[in-house]
Amino acid sequence: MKEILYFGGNRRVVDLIKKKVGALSVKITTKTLPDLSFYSDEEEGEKKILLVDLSPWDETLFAEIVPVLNLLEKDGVLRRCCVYLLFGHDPELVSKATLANCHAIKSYLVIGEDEDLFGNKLLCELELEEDKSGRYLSVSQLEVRINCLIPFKVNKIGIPHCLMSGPFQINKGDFQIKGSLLSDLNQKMISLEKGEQGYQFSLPFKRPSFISKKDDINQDIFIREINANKNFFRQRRGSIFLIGNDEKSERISRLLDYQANARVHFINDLDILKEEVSKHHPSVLFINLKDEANLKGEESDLTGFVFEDLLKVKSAIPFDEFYKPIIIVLNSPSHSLALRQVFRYDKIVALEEELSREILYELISKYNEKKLQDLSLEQGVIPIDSDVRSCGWIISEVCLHQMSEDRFTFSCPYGLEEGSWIHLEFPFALTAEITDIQPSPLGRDQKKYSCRILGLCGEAERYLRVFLNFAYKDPKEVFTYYNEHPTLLIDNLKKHLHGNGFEVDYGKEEDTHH
Amino acid sequence: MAKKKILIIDDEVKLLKLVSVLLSKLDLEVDTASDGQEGLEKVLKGQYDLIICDINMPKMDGIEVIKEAREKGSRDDFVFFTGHGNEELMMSSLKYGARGFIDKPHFSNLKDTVIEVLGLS
Repeated sequence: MKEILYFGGNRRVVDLIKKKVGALSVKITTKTLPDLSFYSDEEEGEKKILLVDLSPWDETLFAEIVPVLNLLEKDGVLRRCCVYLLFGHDPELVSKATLANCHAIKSYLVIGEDEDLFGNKLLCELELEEDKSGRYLSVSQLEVRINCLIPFKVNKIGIPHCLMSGPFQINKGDFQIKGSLLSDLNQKMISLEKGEQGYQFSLPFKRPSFISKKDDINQDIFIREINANKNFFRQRRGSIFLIGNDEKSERISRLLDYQANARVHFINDLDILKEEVSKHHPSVLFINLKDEANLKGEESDLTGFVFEDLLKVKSAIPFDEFYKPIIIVLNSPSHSLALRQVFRYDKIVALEEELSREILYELISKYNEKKLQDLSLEQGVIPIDSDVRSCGWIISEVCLHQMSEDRFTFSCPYGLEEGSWIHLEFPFALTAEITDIQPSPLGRDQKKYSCRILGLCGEAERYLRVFLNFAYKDPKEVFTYYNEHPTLLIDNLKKHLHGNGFEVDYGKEEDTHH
Repeated sequence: MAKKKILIIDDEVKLLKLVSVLLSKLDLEVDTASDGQEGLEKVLKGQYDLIICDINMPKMDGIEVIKEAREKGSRDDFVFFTGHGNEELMMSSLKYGARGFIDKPHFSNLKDTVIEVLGLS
C-alpha cells in the first residue's frame, strides 16, 4: 500500500490530501516538522511519499529543514522515499525550489488558491492518475546541440581546492559555472576534477605572471566578499564531543556536525575516549544519561550512560591547567554543584533536559552565534544549505533529440542520475527531472535521458505549446535557428501571443499550426 | 517574605544542634529529625525548601531516605552530609537528584551550599 507521510501542522492541507486520496488505497500519516529530524525508514514495501509542508513560506524553517533533509539523504535514509516540499504561492518559488533540489528535495507542489489543482498534481505525483504525455504534441529528430545546466552543491570554498558534488559522473573537464555564487565566480570557467572528497576545482585567482587570463579573479576582493557575507558561511573551529550509545544521539551529533561552526565527533565507546580527547582536544563534551532511578516514569528512554561513566569521562581529560573542557551532562536528575563535588571537576554543567532536537538547535545557534574572526580561505568556508550561494550550475552541451509539451529527451556523456534535475535555457527557461536513462544513439560514451518538465504554468506553458506547433513541420531547422538566435524567439512568441503571428527569418515565413 | 523551611536529618543529636546554630544567622525555619525513618515521615508530610540529610545512618541511610521520598512523589531538594569514604554513597545519591554535599565534620561549605541551593543573597 502506498503511504504518504505529511510533515507539518496545516490541518487544512491534511484534510485536502485526505479528500483527494482518501478513497484510494493510500495510508496517510501526519507528523510534525520536528519529527523529520528522526525519520527512519526500515520497513519493506512501496516507496513512501514524504510531503514536507513549508507553506506559508518561513525562511527560518526552511533553513532548519533543508540541512535535515540533506543529512537524511546522505545517510541513505531517503533511499526509499520521494520527498516533496509543499510551497505556498511565492514569486521566488522556482529559485527556492531549485535550491531545495540541490539539497535532496525530489520535487515540489504548490498549495495555492486552486486546491483542486494541487490535489490533481498530487494524484499525478503518486502515479495514481494515467500518464497524459501521449496526448501532447511532440517534435522529434531534432539533434540540436543546446546548453544544459546541471546542478551542483558547493561543499567548501577554499584554497587550494573548492569542493562540490552533484548528480553527475565526470572524471575531468573544463566547464563554465553559473548561479548565485559569489559574484566573482559566476560565469567563470573552472577545471573540474574528481578527487577523494568529491569534485574539486581551484579558484582562478589572478597571479602576478604573464599567464593570467582575463577570466581570473582578484583574491582580495573575493575574500572581502566572503567576509561581507559571513552569515551565509560556516567555518569549523574547534571540536565538540557527543557521547551517546543510541541512534538518536548519533543522528543529533551528525546534524550538529553538519550545521555548527565546530567539528562534532560522536563517541559511543568510553574506552576510546581518552585517545580521542588527546587527538581532537574538544572544548565541550556532552554526555546523555539514562533515567537510572526511573524518576520520569516507566516510559522513559533507558538508553544513555550512568553517573559512574562520568568517572571515565573525567579520567579521559589530561591533567593540564590550560586545558579544561566543559562536560555537559544531559538528562541529569542531580545538579551541577553535586556533580562538581562528587567528580571534583569544576567545569561540569548538569542539565535536566534530555538530548533532543530542541537542545540541538539551541547548541547550533550558540555555536554559530560565536563571532568568527575573519574567515580564512586556507581553512575553507562552507556555504549554509539554505542560502543560494550553496549551489550552482555547470553549463554543458547536450544533444536534444525530442521535445513535447511536458517531456524531452537528450544525450550527453556526463553520467547524470535518474531523479535529478536539469535546467534548460533554450527554447526558454525550463526545469526538468530525469525520469529514465537508456543507451544513446550517439555512442557508448553517452546516455539518452528522458526528462519530465517541472512546474511549467501560465505564460511559459503557452510559449512552449506555440513554439512546438510552429516547429512541427521543420523541427530541426526551427530549433537550430532559434538556438542561435534565442532573443528572437521570445520576441516572436510575445508577438504571437498578442495576435501578430510568428515572424521568422530562418529562410521561411510561416504561421503557427494549431 | 516567608522564611525558608529546612529539615536536618542526622542520628547525632549534638550535630543537629550544632548545624542549627551554624545556620541561625541565615534566618531560616529549621526542623530536625534524629533518624532516617523519622526524617522520611517529615519529608512526606511537610513541604521543605531544603533537606540536609546525613548519608551514613544506621537504620535507614540517606540514600534510602531520598529513594523512598522520590518513589512517594517528593521532589524536595536534598543535600547530604558526607565524610571521607562515602564516595560510593555519594555516587548513588546522584541518580535520585542530590543538590550537593556538605563535608562533615568540618562543615566548611555548609553556609555557602545552603545559600546557593536556597538562592539566598
